[in-house]
Amino acid sequence: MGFFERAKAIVGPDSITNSREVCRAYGYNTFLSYKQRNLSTEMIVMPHNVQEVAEVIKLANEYKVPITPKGIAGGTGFGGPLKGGVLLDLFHMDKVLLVDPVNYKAIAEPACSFFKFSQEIFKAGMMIPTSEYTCGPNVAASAITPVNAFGKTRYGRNCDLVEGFEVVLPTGEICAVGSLAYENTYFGPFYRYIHGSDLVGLFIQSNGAFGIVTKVAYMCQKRPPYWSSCTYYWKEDEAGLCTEAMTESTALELFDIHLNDKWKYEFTTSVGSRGKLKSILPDDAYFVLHFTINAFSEDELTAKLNIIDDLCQKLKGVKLGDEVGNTFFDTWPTMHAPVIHPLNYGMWDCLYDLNRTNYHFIYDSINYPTSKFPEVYGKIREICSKYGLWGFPRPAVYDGFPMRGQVICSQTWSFINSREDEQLTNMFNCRDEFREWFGSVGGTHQQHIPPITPEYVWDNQRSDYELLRIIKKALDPNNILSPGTYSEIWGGVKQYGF
Amino acid sequence: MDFSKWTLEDYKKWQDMCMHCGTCVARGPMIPHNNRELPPDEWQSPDQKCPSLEYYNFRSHTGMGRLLLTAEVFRDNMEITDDLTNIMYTCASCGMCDELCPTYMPMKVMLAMRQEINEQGKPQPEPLAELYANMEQLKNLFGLPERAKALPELPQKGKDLYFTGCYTSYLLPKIAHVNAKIMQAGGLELCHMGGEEYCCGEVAYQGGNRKLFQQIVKQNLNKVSDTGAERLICSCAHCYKTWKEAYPNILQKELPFEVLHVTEVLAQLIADRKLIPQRPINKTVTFHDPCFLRGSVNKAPREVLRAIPGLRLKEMERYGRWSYCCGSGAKISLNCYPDYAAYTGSSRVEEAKKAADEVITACPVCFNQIRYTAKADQVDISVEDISILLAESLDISTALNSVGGRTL
Repeated sequence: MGFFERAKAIVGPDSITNSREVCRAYGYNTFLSYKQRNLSTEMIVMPHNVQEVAEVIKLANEYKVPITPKGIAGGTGFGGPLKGGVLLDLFHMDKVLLVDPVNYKAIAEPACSFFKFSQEIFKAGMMIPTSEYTCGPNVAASAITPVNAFGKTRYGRNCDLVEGFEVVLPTGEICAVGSLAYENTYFGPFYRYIHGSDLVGLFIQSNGAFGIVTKVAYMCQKRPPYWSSCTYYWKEDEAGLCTEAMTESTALELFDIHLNDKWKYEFTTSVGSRGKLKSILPDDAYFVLHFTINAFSEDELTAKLNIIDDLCQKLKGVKLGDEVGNTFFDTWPTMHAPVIHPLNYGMWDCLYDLNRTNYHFIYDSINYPTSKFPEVYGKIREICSKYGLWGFPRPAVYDGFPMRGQVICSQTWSFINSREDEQLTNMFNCRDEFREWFGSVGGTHQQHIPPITPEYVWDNQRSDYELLRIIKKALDPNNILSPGTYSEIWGGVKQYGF
Repeated sequence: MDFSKWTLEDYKKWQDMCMHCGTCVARGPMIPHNNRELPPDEWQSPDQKCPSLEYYNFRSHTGMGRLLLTAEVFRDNMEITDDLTNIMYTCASCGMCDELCPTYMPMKVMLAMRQEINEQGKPQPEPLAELYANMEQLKNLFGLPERAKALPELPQKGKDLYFTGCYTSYLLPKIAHVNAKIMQAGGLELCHMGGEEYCCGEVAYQGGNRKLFQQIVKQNLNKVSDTGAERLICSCAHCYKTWKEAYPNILQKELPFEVLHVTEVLAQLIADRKLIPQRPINKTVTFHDPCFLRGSVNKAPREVLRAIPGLRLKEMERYGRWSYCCGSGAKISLNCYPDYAAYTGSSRVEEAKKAADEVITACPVCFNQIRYTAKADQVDISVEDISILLAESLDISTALNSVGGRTL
């Protein structure tokens, strides 16, 4: 009996397939479809519980078959072999396991969507201060995927809010770290730190290379009942003032601060056969900061709004009216759900006319000091312009998320047709040149996703990377789990077979 | 995006718009969590909604998976294989993916893919060939030579045309008879095409057989035109959806008459007090929304039920907009994938039994499937068509031998 038959005996005949077409249906990513179209795993395995995950991993070790977990929307599925191997679909493991409004904790299985998780927590009077997701992103993938795209409020990213994991190690051993190590004690899960080193951190952004996450514990907060938002803009030559507004406001107790340049909203004014949407921004608006504020009383809310208003006015920010500055901007982050606001539908029309596709090609996903925003933005603009990716007709869009700790997490993306070679070539050249500059000033390009960037070698902060590789070798000597993540095999990756 | 005039050909160019957000994989809905408030009522939904995802579990069997594979066929010349064909035909056509994702309309794209499978001459699920032949040669889905003797004597011309459909005409004549009697009691000048009524062609449309469907549409329109009807009334949800949406879409023009489901007509007659249900029916029932009424006609059946004195309606967990397929899956699941149909049906029957000892529906296909599944699963639940309950409350006899039926 070979690997497939033995794996089938573990998960059951209905939870494993090597159908080429079914496997191809997993070759996607929310934002990054390019090159994944021709990549495919050799089989999909869907365990029902942690024991089955452990058995499958033990079997994989025996046969030296690589295993990569796959998130729902995007997330993971990156660290695996470019072709072949097992893609682990944790669809069956999607339950919310604990909602504890006394100790402000919540635990879920890995494939539980953030939407479902957040809804359950909401009902118990709590929240996880993270992006307000639609159903796609799930609680595990958004913590272990090594890109910045998950979470990102002023409180930090999703992975900053994780307190514990249950993981199945590459040996098949089931292990609990952080608060989940306390799970069966009288105290119960309560704290991320235990004996010494932060082992939760080992699995964060790991792509599943050190273990398959089977439970996630998040820290929650009491959900404030009062919410409001406001939006201010700055002119094109006022990046410095906008930066000051970001650095000062992240020191305040706000829910979220979201920075965009005008291109996020203005591309619709140049494309689209349906009459071209009217610009929603004033002519001189360029940098747009949208603040989401919450409070436990109306007085507190009013006070916070006043503080923001004073701050922005002091720094020459101009307030946008409520329809755009409040209603629309509140719904824009729901770009997954254009059903929410008619203007989003209009944007979709424009995208269809532009590309016949809707791929947001994110070609960077980076962290840097908030204070360096003007320089980083200037460089993005310079390099994007060089490759025809700035302004009409194909604007790049800057999306920035100032977080506490004075770190800003940003992405730059564009709508492209990933079947057009010229567009892709420009995009990759632009990304590579920016990455080279960014690395030279101390940044690490976070989009180290092997199938997307198979040629990329981590030259920046090399010591960190080398240590991770040493740990990887110790934990996973056969390089079974997400084998592309901490090895340099992907340049000439082999196709795994059975 | 205004999809109202889009043909399936248009949808062949559309697949790359799906951004793979995974909402359909995670069971939706496509609305973000909001820390300010829970989603509005219309977006509150139960967990399990897509029958093919719940049975097959793999992402290939979701709206997103089908969109992705379809894009590969249309844009990257991926070969159409048996596996791919099965992935496309195991969609139940319930439209839940379009409900979850009104942005990208996965089901329409899937229908375009089925059309492509047909037009490339690729093998389709085996039973479809027989169904197509039945529709083409004998003008009904079952290949039966004669209709049941059920309807009361009706003229062939009139303002309101009752389109009974294959299930009601051939398998469940009582429903046709009772609906006709009720509408007559409400004062409608009902007509019927008799033996000239042909199958609506739903399976041809859903199966992607455009040529056959166009042929059926042409025939049926000519026949309806001969009746002079201003309204076409269907008691079958499948016929209703096909007449209401597929006909105008393939013709690319509005039909010259209004298409209504019988529950819309009955609810209006009740509201106008032309029908006054008076006899109490003291029991608790639950209502199964047929997939093809779920989004557009989910209030009218409830208005009819609420009008019956003494009747208590207890909803299932999945109802109205978020109702769940009975398993018949546009009759394609039922005929081509019986295990899948049975699994889906069992899920629905079990859910209905949790709500009440009697389940009411407004579609003969659902009626048959639920009744059959309950019997197979040995679930003690009664199944009834909405017309029968209303007739009882109106003191209209539901016995077939009480009228002079005629061979249609």
